[in-house]
Amino acid sequence: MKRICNIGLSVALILILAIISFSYVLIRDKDFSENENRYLSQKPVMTIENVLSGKYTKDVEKYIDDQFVLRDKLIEIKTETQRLMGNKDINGVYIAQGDYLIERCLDKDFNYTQLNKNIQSINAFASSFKDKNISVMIAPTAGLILKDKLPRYAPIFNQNEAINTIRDEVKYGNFVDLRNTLLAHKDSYIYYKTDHHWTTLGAFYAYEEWCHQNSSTVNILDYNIKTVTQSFKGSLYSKVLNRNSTSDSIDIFDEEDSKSYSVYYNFGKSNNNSIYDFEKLNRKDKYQVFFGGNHPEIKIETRNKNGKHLLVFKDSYANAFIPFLINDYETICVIDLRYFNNDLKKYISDNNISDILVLYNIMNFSNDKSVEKVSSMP
Amino acid sequence: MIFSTPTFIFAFLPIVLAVYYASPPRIRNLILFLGSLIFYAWGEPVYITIMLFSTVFDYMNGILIVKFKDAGQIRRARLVLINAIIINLSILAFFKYSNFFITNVNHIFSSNIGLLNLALPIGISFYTFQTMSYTIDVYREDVDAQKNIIDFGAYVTLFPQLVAGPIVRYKDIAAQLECRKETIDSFSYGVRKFIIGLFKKVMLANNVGLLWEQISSAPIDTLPVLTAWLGAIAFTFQIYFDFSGYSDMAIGLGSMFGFTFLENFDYPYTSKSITEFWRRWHISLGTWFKEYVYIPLGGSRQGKLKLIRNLLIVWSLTGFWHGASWNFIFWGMYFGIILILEKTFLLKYLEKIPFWLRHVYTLVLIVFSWIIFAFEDISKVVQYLKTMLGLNQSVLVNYETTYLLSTNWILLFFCIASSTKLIKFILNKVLQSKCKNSLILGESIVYIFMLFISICFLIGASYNPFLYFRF
Repeated sequence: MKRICNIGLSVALILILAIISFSYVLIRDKDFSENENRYLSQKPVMTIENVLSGKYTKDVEKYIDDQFVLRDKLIEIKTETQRLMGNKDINGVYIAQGDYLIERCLDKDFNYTQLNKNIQSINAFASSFKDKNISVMIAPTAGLILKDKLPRYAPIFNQNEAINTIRDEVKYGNFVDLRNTLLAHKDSYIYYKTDHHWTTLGAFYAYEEWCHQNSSTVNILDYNIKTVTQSFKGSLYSKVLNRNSTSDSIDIFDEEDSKSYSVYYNFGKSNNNSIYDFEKLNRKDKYQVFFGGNHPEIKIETRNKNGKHLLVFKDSYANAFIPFLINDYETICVIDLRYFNNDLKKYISDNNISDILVLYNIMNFSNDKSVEKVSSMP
Repeated sequence: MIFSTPTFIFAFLPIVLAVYYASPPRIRNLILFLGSLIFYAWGEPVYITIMLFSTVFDYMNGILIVKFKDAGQIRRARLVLINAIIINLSILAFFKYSNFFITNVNHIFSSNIGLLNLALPIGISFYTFQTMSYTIDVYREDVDAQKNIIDFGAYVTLFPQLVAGPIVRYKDIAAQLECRKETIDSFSYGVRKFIIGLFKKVMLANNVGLLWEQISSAPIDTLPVLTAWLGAIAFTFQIYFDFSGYSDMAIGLGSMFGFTFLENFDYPYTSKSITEFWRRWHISLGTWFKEYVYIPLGGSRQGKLKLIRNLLIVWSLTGFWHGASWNFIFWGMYFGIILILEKTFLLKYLEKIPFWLRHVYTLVLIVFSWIIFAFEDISKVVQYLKTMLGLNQSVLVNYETTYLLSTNWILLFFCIASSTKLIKFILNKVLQSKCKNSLILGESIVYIFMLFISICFLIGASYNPFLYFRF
């Protein structure tokens, strides 16, 4: 029997090696990984410089890694094994209760230095625009609001201190604190289970708080809630690839008496009449149904000619929030500071901006260097 | 190239195996030599010249030494040997230790000599030691000089042990270079050994390494005592499974080509004294230093004072071999001092205390030693050790300790079980039982499963989502 097993094992190994190595030749290479949101390495070209510098061999290794047969499936098995071994966090994501995936951020990961710089920048900016109505809304993420769902004893950075710092340090401007309202609704579906964004419902509660601060009211019953997809698997799923992960659904809140509006993208390079890009629902990152993702600049012109023109500095959290603002302003200008390099002062005066909103989630706000641009422009 | 990559396992290895076994036995050493050159050049397209120089240089030295000895010119033979050793050590010193020397000279003399910042040629610590062992053994007439440069080249560059050992002495495989038999049994033994090594590296070492990385990347002075211990234990396992896993893969690969290499690790964490530990850990290095430094210096045969001197020299060098940094030297001296104490009187007392206590004594010393090894920055070493001893006003345990333990205990259990002879013991019992046949079959299936799961984790290492995460 030992002999048979020896032969068997040897043959098995040779077969495995042969099958997989032939798969590189026989199976066509994939060019894009939906899960990883990147292009996969292709067969590298051999040149003398490549080889001597060592780049060729590194590229071959990347090619072999990326084009491994059934790659995503194998990684799913890896995740499953890690879960069986008792792991509660994989690749920087906690596997929390109720099928929630929650981003794992530890104390040492939080960039207080950049946060303080950004607060200073906002203050410096706001001080030169004191005549405008400025609001700063920095949203907590699931890491704070859904803390109870985290694995027991799991360490997580406490966002409260950071948000308190912003609340205390922001001068000239209205700090909108979303923590209480989001905490009150934490048992509702206000954050996606597989993505780091808040749901449209979560954004709605933020809008409700915003209205409250601006002395107006809003009722959820005024909206016609439409589910546009139930198969959304977001950024956190991509990091983990857990096999039995749930899917998220994305809702759109249509106002009953909504009027039409026009949307101009990137300083008028293109335009249409909807802030929703339903084509994105056919791709993996369905959250991009809001505005089709992030753009350097967007301008929304509405029929509500009330003379109020809003400017929003934002990250992708705002994409689900801005739709609620459409009927409140004559114009809404949306700037993504990572891509915006124009003259901010001129932009503000050209567009008669009367109100300014800074809307980020706390994790991005503390990491994003581009926020400093607001104060560096004259 | 690294063994634990898809490129090695699924591109290089199948091709080399296929070409090797398709070739007539006469040119198989040439196949190995060429394959090994590609293996080495893969990661070092330029520095391969140094290894080739070392090969040709010591090939000629071997022949010269024999020629001079045969002609009765012992002094010339000795000169060749000394020259060979000096050149080899100089190459090693230049590429590995020049920054270290320059930094220390700058420190002492407040000078400002620029650092060379040379990249370290892969495997240089291993192949220079191998070729030196060859020339010394030829001089000692322990072995004949190898006249065939291909065969000698195959020995020096042999890809299984080129990059991370074991340090194979020429005399241990001289006969195998000439004639070795590749059998199904040796091949399947190699397969088993390779799979075990891969599993150790990918499933045990890499995962427990994550635990260590988590703990050691937090500010050390905030660590609770138990977390610090957990981290030290994690690193203790990581370095063992990483290194012994790699050695297993090397021995396994050698066996697939008909070579028998000596074991490099023999369950070192089951030791009951540090003396025993160093007979079980990185055996090929200990043997090398014993044969070529300790014994020539007189070993233990010239009185207690010389014994102490010899041990201190050997262990400082052993430490220094591991890395161009003071912490490695201290690590070596740490063991040197303990070994001196054990050899002079401690061992006698140890034999009188119970088994388990000796085991605890050994393990505690080992765990501490790895902390000295883990940080090149001595102040971090001190801080970490202080935390472990509770001298840093840290708490004993916090919630994170519980979290880390509860999410890693299964892994740690496997690590503990795999570092003892438990599994071997169970297997032996099984092989003597009645259901022998089906259990042997089961064992083979387990190997395939271990290979499969290791591949899953291996691929996972290259998974790299580029998500607009921070945006």
